[in-house]
Amino acid sequence: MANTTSLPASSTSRPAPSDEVVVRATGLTKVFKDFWGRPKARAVDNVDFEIRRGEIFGLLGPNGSGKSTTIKMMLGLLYPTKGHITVFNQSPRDVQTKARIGYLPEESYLYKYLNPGETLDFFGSLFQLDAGERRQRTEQLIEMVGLNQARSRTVGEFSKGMQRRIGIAQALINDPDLIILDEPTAGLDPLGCREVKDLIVALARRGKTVILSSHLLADVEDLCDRVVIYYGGRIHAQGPLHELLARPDQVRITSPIVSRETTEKVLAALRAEAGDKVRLDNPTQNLESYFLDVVERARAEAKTSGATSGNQVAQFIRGGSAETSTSQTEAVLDRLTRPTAPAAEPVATTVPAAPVVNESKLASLTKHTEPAPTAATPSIQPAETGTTKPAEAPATPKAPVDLSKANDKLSGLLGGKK
Amino acid sequence: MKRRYEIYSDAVGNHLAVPTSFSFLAFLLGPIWVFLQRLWIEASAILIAEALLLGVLYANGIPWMFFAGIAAVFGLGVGLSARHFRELAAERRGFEYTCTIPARDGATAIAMLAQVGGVPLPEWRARYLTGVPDITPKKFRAVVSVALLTLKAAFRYRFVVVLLALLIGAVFVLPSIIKHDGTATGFSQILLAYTLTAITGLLGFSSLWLACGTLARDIEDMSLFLVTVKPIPRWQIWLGKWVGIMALNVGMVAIAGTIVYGLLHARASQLKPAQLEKLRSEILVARESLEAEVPSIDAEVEQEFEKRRRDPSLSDMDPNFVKKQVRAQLEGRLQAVPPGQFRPLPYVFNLGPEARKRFKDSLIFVRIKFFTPEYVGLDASFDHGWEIGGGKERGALRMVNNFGPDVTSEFAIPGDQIEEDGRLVVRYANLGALTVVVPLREGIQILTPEAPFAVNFARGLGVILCWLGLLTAIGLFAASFLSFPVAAFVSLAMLVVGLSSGTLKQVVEQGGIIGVNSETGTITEPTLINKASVVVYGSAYWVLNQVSSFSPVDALATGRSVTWLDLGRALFVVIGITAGGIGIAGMIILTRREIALPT
Repeated sequence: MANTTSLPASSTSRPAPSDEVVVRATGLTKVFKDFWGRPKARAVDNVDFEIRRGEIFGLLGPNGSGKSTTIKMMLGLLYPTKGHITVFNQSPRDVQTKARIGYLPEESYLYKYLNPGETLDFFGSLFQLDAGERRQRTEQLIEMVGLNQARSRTVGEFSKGMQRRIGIAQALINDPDLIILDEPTAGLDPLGCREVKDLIVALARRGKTVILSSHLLADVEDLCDRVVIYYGGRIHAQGPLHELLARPDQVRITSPIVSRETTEKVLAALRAEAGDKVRLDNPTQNLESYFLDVVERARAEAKTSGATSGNQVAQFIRGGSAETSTSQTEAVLDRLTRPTAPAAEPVATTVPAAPVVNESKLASLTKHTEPAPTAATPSIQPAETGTTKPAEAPATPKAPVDLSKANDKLSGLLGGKK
Repeated sequence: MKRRYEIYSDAVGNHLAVPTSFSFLAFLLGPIWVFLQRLWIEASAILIAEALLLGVLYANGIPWMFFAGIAAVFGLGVGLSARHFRELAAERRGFEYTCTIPARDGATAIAMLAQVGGVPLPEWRARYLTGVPDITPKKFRAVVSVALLTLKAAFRYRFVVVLLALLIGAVFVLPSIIKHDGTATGFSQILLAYTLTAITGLLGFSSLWLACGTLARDIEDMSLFLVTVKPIPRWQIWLGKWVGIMALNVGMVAIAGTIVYGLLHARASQLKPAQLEKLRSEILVARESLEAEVPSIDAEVEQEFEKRRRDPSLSDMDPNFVKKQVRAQLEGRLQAVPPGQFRPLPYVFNLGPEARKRFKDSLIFVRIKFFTPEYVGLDASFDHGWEIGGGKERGALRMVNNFGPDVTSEFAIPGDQIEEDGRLVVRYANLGALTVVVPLREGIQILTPEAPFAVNFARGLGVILCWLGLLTAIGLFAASFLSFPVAAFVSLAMLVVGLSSGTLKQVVEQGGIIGVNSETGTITEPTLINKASVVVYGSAYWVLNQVSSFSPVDALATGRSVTWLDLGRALFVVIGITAGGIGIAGMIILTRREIALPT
């Protein structure tokens, strides 16, 4: 996933969303009916909203408030009882429209008997991608979501977090223009959450539209430009997040530590005007930031057989060609904003942080003077070298009978002919 | 030239290099090479398949060059699949895939990995995936992809292994349990009819089950959510699943069919020479059957009916019933042959203008099946007299033989008895002591050689596949709108209805379902319900009749030909019309269905 050394998402600048409407819901209503067609539940009730290109749009609300039903109507999995919903000005059931959408459902609905590579290859083929393109994207996405070590395991054997990761990868296989993420961070460790958030920002910087449905308000606050808040199938609040959260009647001053005298002077001046409503405290960083700092320090020594992190955003998602730099956050984010480039050859020179390569040795190897196996090489077993261990039926006529009499009869019948 | 090596590693840091290219050693050694990889099950399966195929060739006296060809084909398959066999072997030994490195040889590839500290370079991570190849047209890529997924699921959930075991068990075990009576007929009945029926039954049931499961389960566990939100029309998902199941069926039918064919030839040597000869000349052949032209009796029926209508004692009877009785009576006269008499009308067979030229040097067969009006015991037999063909150049052939009632019997005649215009006239005389009834249809038939048995057998299996295609469509149709258990129940219920064609026919003949006169067996007053039921039952009966007329098992077991025309008709009627119609209905339902509705 996105490089964890990048800046917090909220602090990165993004181009303003365009006026182009990607999703438009007008009087959207969904009533679930029972077997006899009697109304059972009004899941979504006369909802109106618009989502513009490049926006990160949040769908908030308690369980059963209508968020998932709205998303399912957006995807053409459910049909509105009343009202309309369009995606890219088309019906959500239009096949070509679906080619521009990536969707991560709230649960893992992946085929449990496929491994990550097969999963991504299958979904890639549904977008009619060529085999080479599928292979390249598959490799980049597996790398990106940190499932390199779990390639040979089937999705059914994955933990919830790992299933989430492969779910995110499948949502991005087509480099979609609209990404719908239903609880994307559910089940992920804090590192994974941070990576997903960075990824969402990276996508938005490329002009992608992201719809985020989440119960984790901190995530939404970090990421979203605009939100709608559902309750009982209706929208009870909507608008830009900064407007909804702004408290125009208060002000916060943050400063480095100064002398006690100076602090008291300032407090006295403020209290003279605002009375005893003035508060003084030490700012704290949030737990997520602290956790990430600790992990970052420990990362050099870490070794895991599960999902890993700290990997690059897939090249085709970034939209740039293969490059080597990974450590500079700004450089990564700059690349993320580049327009989509045609699929290139498999990454040839990208060397992410992890592998330590002895450049001189590698150079000697690539000069067609590959070394023979050495004693230092652990237990070499090439499979095709002579020294290694490779891995109503027809009835059967009755027994002959005396037919002479019969023959005479036939002769008689035929008028003496023989 | 550099090759690509897949590096596999185990928990303690050992590495294994697997070449990804074609293996000449595997090509030369075939299954033996697979044994060397310690893949015992896979190697045994390949060896058995190869041995069976070679056995079939040997039994048919096919030239040795074909043996080499088959061995080469198997070798090629193993050579091309060498990479996958090696991967399998490595994984069974506890190794896991690490990366793919281009290198001169395996040792060098491992050394290169060691040089970079055991952590693969990004460009080494790419691994060839077995998926939809680029040669698949883009339009069909999604369908092929869903088909491959369906096949993969069948393999990964061990369905294929279990099904294969059951099929092979049925094919080998059935003939061992049920002993034949030493006759060619009994032999073919058990080895062909029973085993093919068992195979059809097993595959039919598995097709229904798999079809219901693959679609209904995908909807229930919501896997289909993620597929339907991709740019694939839902009808293609439906079609992809059908293609996937049919691909599995083709494989299963091919394997089971090859085994049956091999066993048939291998076990034929158990028969005595006379029976063996009969087996080869009458059963292991493909003979086209031809019915005699049925004379029209419409004019006689009308004439007799008019006569009876004037009879006052019959004036209050249903005219249709009377006419039906008259027709039955007149047909009976044509079918009944009293003792010591010729049938009044000769049987005329039109074999086509080229028939004499085609068959003049070969034997053709006359098949007879007759009944007696009263029970005569199992061992009773009757003398029959024949005057067959002739034409201008030569006289008719006279024959006398002896057969029992209620079963099909046949005898050979020279093909040159066919007349120049392709007609063959057969006069039949009952030389027994009792009247015999020879049905108008399938009473007397002429059998002519049409193709080798192997071709006939393959066409018969083709017709069985058409049936399986229909069952698969029924299963997928039910699963398009029902949950798995309900879909499975409905599919089986449809099959039961399919087997109840007798009831459907009866309803049509009696003219409805309510108010049937017990004496006449017909409806006295046609009501709306009766009229509607005749339409519904009549349509169902028509479809079933069309479909059920394709029964290759009986034809194969009696040496009758399943012609290309039969196969084409089966494809058209069973797959094109019936399965196609059901399929279109299923696709429409699936397309319109809200698959994310809460349950």
